[in-house]
Amino acid sequence: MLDLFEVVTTSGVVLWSRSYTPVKTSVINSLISEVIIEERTQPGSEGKWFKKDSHTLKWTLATDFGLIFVAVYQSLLQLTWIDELLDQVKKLFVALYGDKIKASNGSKIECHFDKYFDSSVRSLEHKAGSQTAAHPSNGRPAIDIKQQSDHDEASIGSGDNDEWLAPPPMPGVSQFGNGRSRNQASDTPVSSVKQNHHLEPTSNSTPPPSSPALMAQALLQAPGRRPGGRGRRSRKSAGHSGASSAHASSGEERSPARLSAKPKRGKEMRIWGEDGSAAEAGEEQKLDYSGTGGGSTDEEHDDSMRARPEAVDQSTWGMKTRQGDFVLKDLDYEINDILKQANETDKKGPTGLASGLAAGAMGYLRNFVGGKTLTKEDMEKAISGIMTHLLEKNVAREAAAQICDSVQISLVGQKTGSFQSIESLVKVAMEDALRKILTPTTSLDLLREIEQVRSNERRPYVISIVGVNGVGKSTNLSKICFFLLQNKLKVLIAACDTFRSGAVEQLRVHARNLKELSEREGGVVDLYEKGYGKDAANIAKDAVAYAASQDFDVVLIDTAGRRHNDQRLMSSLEKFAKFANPDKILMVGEALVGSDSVQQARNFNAAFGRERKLDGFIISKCDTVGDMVGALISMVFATGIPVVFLGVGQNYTDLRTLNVKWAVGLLMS
Amino acid sequence: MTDSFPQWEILGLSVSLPILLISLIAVILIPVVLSRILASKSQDGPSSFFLLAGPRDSGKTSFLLYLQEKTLIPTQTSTTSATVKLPTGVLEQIKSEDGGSSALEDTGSRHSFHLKDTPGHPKLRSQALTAINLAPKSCIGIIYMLDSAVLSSQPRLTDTVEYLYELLLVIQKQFASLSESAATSPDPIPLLIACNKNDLFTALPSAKISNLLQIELGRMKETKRKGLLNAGAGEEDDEDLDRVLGDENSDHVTWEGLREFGVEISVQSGSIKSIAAESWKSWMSSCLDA
Repeated sequence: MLDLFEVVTTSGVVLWSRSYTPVKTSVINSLISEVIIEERTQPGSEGKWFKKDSHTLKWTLATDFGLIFVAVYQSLLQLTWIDELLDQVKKLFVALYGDKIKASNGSKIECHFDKYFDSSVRSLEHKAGSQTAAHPSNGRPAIDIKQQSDHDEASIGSGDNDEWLAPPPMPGVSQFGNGRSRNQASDTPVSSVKQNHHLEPTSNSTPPPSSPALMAQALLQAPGRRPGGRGRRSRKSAGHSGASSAHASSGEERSPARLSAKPKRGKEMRIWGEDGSAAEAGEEQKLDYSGTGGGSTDEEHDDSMRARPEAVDQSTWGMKTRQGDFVLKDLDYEINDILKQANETDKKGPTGLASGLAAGAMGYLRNFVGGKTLTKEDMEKAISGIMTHLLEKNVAREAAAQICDSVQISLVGQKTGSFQSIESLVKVAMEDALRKILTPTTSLDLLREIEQVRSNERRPYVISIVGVNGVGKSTNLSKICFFLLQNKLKVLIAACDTFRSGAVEQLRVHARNLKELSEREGGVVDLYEKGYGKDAANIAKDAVAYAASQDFDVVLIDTAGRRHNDQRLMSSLEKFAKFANPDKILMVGEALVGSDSVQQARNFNAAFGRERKLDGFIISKCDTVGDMVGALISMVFATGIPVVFLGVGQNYTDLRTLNVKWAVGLLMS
Repeated sequence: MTDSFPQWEILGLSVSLPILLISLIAVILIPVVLSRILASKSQDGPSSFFLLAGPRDSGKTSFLLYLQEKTLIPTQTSTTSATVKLPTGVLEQIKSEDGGSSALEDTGSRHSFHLKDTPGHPKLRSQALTAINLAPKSCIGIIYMLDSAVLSSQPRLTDTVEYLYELLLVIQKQFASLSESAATSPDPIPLLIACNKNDLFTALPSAKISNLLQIELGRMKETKRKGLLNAGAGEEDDEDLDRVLGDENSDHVTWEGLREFGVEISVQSGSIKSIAAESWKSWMSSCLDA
């Protein structure tokens, strides 16, 4: 089950937490650092979940209150109700403590949230339990799932079931004399689900059997009346529910949810099979037929079916009474009320005409005066404006859209300052977001690292350079080499482009030039070459060994250019990384590249195997694009890997480190 | 009665022109002035505050909460900064323990200070730096908190020192601009390097940490001087040209040397977990007294 549930403020204070098993704090810390601050989503999660040390974390944010709600559970478990729980807890917590939190200015407040939380968990668990395990002998899984999916869509307190379930034609509903007992038997599970809907502990009352939902069940169960009809209908509804639950449930759970829906069907068919019929889904009518046969065994069977669900309900009821009937009842009503209110305010929007007009006028005024609380709709225009601006700056569309989304989400619920327009607020937020993206999380001091490796490990520091064809790998390698030589380091250049003719000769020319330039400075440079056609990984390995024996400080490895979507060429990179084991793998990317930048960065980042990632980007040809430096953002955003160098010209000296302020200034100008 | 009417009219007309002009001007100006005042008020932060900075997981938020609530409260990584107003009694409470809560309330009503907690995640460090840049005068002291148990590992040490370097550089810049504008050179900002978590087994003693930090800062300064130019350098003159920390002619960084560049550093160990933060508190109250 759940391991830990925590409510944290953005300023880092744990306001409330409920721990079922001890979980390291680093688990949630890494969620906040990696996902919420660095906005790095784990592959395949689509930002819906986060896995760390056998735990799965799900979270939701209340940005206007500065709250983060995190649920932690074992990855082995497939808890489908976590999203619902998060949503419900968020609404409850904000409704109960929202004002206090706003007033407290991000510090600790008192929360007596335990009972609310427990009640929420219990009701959701109970609902999930009734969905998956409560009625083993119930032959109508499709309906239960359907109700569940209704739930997911309309959340709590909606009464849409009837609309969903009631089939337009209802021939012979009243003729289900013998099917009736079964219907009654199944009354209780259905009603229990319904009660969860309203979170009311009144499970003893049975709803009138003539409710449309029941009639629908009866119809679906029509024994022999519509031989093909039933199968088709249930299949259809199952498909429906599968689709809608896939909608409602999220990311990772998507496929398990569907899976759990289908095997359950199969399983229950098998249970029917124990009664003497085959386990095929198409032969359900036979089972019903045996029901209409009306033997004593069937009545016994019906009795048992009637008894079991009631027993379940009574046990939950009893548990509640044991814990104090009145308190719980009040609490559940309270929770229900709060949630209803929250839902209503959610749904509210453009309402009545007169009030709408007044609100519109006020809103219009507030556009100028400030003090307007932002909604998603308010920002639509400003966000799309800034998105076009980003696209004009050559940011890849994918990256621009995602950045804009996160900015929009971060601004919802904020108030504009006095005389501050939405546009300026969005602009400021965008500047912050861009700065956050470009700011590196690790030290990029290359000289310092080389010094450390040299003094601590007595081995050469290895840098290898990869990239797509023609982006300037060799040129930038020579620039870095020149920079290192100026710092009086002994550099070996390894020519591992054994593919393109002229590549080795090109490096030879560079090495000769650099030798001449650095003679007076005191740096030493040499070229390690083995001609063409050989395996690059082996040459790199030999070069590193040679450098170690000759006491070089740094090895710079040049590699062949490769297209990022060419599997054959990209796959050799993994071996290369293993053999040469570089301290830094830098990827050269052109500032000129447009929407392809995201994919290039991702593919190269993934090409070195599981353990190895890129260490940095060199963005070349920055002098050719003016202020359209969007490729910087696209590449860093796609991978979270920092920009180490910028190439800004044709000379050996035209290499710069990234200045985040400068880049953000260019992008926002 | 009949005579008085024209008199009234004349009176009204004769007065009307200047009054009309004045009132018109007043009508136009008052909202503008009011909004200006209101706007400036809302933008201003607290008049005097302590800044709490340092790498992540060092215990900044815990310290803040400890001062506020006097108990240990679990925390997670912060993503936003928080400013909390605290009575000065918080700092003196342990000293005059028998004084009781009444004394605390007395001092609390008279004096209070703000403590600004900033996130330590590398991507969010700019928040602390901009806090200094925005209000260098109202910052009465900086607490740089670090985890003394992890400094033996090189990456964590580099991370810690790099942040400290950036912070010191910002202080130095602000100090330079302040002393340019003022006739007399302003007082250096006190900075406490609070070596937290000294209850842990791997924790280094404060003297060792002090030494280590100075050496590392020196090395960092050396490589920064040798390093490449920034991309924006040369376009904008003064601001983006990164100055080196401290004395330009030497590669060494010492706490005494930094004093003339606007920061007075003291290093003190402590532990929030084992409620051993007295030295930090007394440092804070000495800052408040100054």
